[in-house]
Amino acid sequence: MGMTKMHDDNDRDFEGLEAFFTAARDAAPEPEPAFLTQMALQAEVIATERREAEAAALAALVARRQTSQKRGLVATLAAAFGGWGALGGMAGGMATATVAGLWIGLAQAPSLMQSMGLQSTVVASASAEENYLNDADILALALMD
Amino acid sequence: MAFDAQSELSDEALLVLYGNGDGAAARALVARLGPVAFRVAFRMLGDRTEAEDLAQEAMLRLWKIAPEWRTGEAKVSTWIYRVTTNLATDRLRRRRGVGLDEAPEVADGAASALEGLIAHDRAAALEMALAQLPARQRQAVVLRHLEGLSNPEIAEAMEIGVEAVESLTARGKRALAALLAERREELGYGHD
Repeated sequence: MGMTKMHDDNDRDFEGLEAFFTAARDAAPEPEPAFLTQMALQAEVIATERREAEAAALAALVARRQTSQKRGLVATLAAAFGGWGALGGMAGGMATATVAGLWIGLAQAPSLMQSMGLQSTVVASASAEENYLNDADILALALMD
Repeated sequence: MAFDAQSELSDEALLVLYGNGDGAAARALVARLGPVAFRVAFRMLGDRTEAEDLAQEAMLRLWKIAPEWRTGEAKVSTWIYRVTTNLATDRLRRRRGVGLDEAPEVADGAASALEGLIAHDRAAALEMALAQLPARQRQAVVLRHLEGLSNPEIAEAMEIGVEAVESLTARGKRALAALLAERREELGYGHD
C-alpha cells in the first residue's frame, strides 16, 4: 500500500529529526508559577460564579413554588365555595353589602344618636345660643335707651 | 483535603470533585494540566504571551464544562490537548489566512543534512521550523513527537482517523526536514 511505503520512507529518511525532537523535549517551555497561580484563581472565580448562579436559581425556584402554593390555597378555597365564578359573585355581593351597610348606617345615624341622647344635647345647646343672642339684643336696646 | 500533582486521583476524579465545589482539586488539575496546555500552546504558537492566553482559555473551558463532564467518555488530558491545539489552530488560521493542508512538498532524503547541530540550536531550529508548518501538521507532529501521544490518542484529540494522523505526521516531518536543512545552511553548518 502506498501509505505504508511512504511511512517506511519517512522512517528511513527522517531519522535525523529525532535528535531535534529530543532536544526540543529536553528544552520544553515551562509556564511561570505566577501564571499557574492565576489559573487556579480563575478556577475559583468560575466555581464561585457557578455557586452564586445556582443559589440564585434555587431562590427563584423557591419563590415560584411559594407563589404557586399560595395560588393553590386560594384555588382550594374557591373550589370549596363553588368555584371561581361563585367566589367572584361572593366578592361582588360582599361589596354590595358593604355599601348598603354604609347607607343604612348613615340613614340610621340621627335616630341612633337620639336614642343615645346625643341629639338632644346638640339641640339644647342651639336653643341656649339662640336665647343668649336674644338676651344680648335686649341688653343693647336697653343701654341705647 | 489537600491535593497535589502527585495525587493518586485521576484527572477525571479531580474534575468531578472540582465540579462539586472542591477548590483543592482545581489546584491539582492546574498543576497537572496547566503546564501541558501552556507547553502545547507555546509549541503551536511560538509566543509565550499568546501561549499563556490560549492555555488559560483552554483551562477556562475545562472549569466551565466540569459540572457536565461525562465520566468514562474521554480522558481529561486528551480533552485538553484537543481544545488547546484546536484553539491554536484557529489562531494560526487567522494569523496566516491560509488553508490547513497547504503543506510544502519536500523531496525525500532532506533529513540527511540535519546531523551535527548542538542541542540548543536544534531545539531553537525545530521551534522555528514548526512555526512554518501548516497548523494541522504542526498539531500532529507536536502531539506525536514532542508530547509523546500515540497515534490513536492523537486521532481522538484531533477528531480524525488514525491514518489521517499518520499522513499529517509524515508530511509534517518531511517539511520539517527540508526546513531544518535550510536552517543548517543559514547557521553556517556546511555540508561535510
